[in-house]
Amino acid sequence: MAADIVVALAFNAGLMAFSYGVGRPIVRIFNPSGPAGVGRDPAGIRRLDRGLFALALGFGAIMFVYLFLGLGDALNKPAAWAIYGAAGAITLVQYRGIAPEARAAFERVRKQRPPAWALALAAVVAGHAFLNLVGAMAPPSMADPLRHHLASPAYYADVGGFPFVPVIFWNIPGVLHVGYTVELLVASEIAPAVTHFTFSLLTAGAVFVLGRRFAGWKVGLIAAAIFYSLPMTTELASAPMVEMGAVFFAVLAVYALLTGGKDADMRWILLAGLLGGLAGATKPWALLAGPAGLAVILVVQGSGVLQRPRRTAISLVAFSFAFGLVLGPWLIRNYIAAGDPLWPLGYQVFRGDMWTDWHFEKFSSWETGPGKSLVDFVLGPWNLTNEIGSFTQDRGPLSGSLLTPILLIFIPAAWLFGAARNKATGGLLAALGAFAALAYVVWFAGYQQPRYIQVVHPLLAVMAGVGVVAAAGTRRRWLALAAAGLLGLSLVGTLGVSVAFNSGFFPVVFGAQSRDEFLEAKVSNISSVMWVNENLPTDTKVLVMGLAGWYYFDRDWLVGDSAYQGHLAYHDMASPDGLVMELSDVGVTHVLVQGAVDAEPTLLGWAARVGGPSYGERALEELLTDLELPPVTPNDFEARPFVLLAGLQAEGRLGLVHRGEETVVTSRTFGGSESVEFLVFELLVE
Amino acid sequence: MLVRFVREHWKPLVFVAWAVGVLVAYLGQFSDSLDSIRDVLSRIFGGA
Repeated sequence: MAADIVVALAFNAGLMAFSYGVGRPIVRIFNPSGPAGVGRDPAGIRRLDRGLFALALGFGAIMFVYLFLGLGDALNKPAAWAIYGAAGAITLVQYRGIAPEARAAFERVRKQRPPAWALALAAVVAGHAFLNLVGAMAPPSMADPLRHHLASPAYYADVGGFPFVPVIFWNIPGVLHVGYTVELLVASEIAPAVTHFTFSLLTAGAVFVLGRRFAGWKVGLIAAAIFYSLPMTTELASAPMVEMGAVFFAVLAVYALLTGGKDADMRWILLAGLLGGLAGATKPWALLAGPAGLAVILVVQGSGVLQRPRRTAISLVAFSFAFGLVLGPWLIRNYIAAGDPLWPLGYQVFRGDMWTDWHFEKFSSWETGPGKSLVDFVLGPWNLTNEIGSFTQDRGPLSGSLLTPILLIFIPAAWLFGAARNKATGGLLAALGAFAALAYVVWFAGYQQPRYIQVVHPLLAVMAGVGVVAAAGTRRRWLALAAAGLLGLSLVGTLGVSVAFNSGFFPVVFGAQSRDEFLEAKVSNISSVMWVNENLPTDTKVLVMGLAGWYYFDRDWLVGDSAYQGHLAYHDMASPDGLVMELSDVGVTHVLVQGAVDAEPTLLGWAARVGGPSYGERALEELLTDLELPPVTPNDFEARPFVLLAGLQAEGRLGLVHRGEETVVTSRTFGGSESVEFLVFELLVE
Repeated sequence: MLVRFVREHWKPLVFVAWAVGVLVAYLGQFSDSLDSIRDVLSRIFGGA
């Protein structure tokens, strides 16, 4: 595992350096300008700011090359190394330009004499970063990566391309997924998490430069510390998720719109559109950057919208064009393959293939949060801060969704203490407020999962940073001390959260715990996955009925859950014969039914779990007779494959080969788990 | 005198009241989670 970690760190160091090298000439093409000043390059943008833009664009460009290779089914190890090498060569060619820049940047940092409080904030961020890096170096254990963020790249790496796979979340735009595919091909399974961790630091850097440019370095630094210490940042930064890539691109898009939007500078607006598109192409919920970016343009142009409407219209079109240009390849591919550019998220509009009303009804009925009334809407920020347990189902407030009170306390202070009266700061607050408000409205109307609104966290951190500096700058010493005390207490508290969350990764990273022991403790249903890997022949193909640990399958496998995939049309199968024909066609030899806490370990037990108690009470013959009619409800739709399988078992065409014990992990942080039983069947067809 | 004090310092007073209110509500949400917090501390520090 140590070798995996070293390879992951080295590969990522190269990837980031080469992204900067590739992006540097792209930024020059745009040649974005700004007011000249100390510490800025001749174009007027500070070196760090320009460097972040270069890195973002370079990373996007490299991923696009990999994407097109994959769309042409030509993404293999040699091709992956060739592109990596070419990016390195582009960087090396610019050595004479980059080396003096690096020296100048180093000298500038060396000569800084920051105050003690600034060093303390930097130390807090460094502490969080160390803990998150350790978490990132552990074997992947978070549920979402094992189900899609790593599971789909592992499949893509295996087949050497990006075919359309009708499994939910596997066909949603993913810039980072492209990178993860390359990393699984040529580096190690640790590399994707290290990439995501790197993007968390880059986002903190983007937050810093955004705050510094429009409200001063103190705001930038405080905002970066607030953002990086949020528990959700901790939870995400240490796992191979994709959110940190999305927010990095989104923050830079806002920076670009704030810089060039008012004067309708097309270079900045196009740059913002490209970055917004990269955000949306990284995480579906970051597609909000599109409409939110348009809102920011309207806000920064202010009264100019009415005075020069043509200029505003051109700005909106230019931003939308660049935004759509980046998303184009993913949207076109999905539309050609399934008739829905956002398959399956656009089903309501496009009625795409391999998805049904039952799928749609199931996922659109998901609900969380205290409610959707006007009062709930108004109290949303309060509830997200002080009633987070009402958004986390049965997990309570101690989860990665926990916010700190700093945002809610200090954002109003920005207006209360007059920071908004400053022209630049007021414009910043209005633009960030518009972005956040639009994102909030869309989020509130949909599924209120706290992580789906994470794209606004960096922007809220900047607004809170403005509030902290405004409160501390009132010339009332006691108020400055109170503001500093609140901020300090919050940062110490969240550092404690980070220790609690990441401490579980230290033993495996530093060799005191084996990889298998770690996975057993952290990953639900891993025993059934390992049993399949260790006991079934290598030419096996397993239909997996369950949603856990997919990434760790070594055997060929297929998603079997009716609601999460569209390749098996159970709803069209009127009898077990239909299922046998379909499974034989796709080469399935075995069926794994993973254990669940609330299901009897039988096929009809599972049918009752997803379809309702009646499935456990009625005779199998009666249930099989019902299959002659289409499913009535989404529950019937989900229960149908288990009834079909039970029919096969009753006919002797599906034989139980193993019944084993495994655990469902209820909390990776608190260590809770429950014992369940899994079943492995063999398809007995002639 | 109190009226004058409030008139001169209403902004900091409003801010402090708001901050205290948020903090009390924020910490209050953990009242049912003390056992979980104790479990984590126990895991990290071995019986704290």
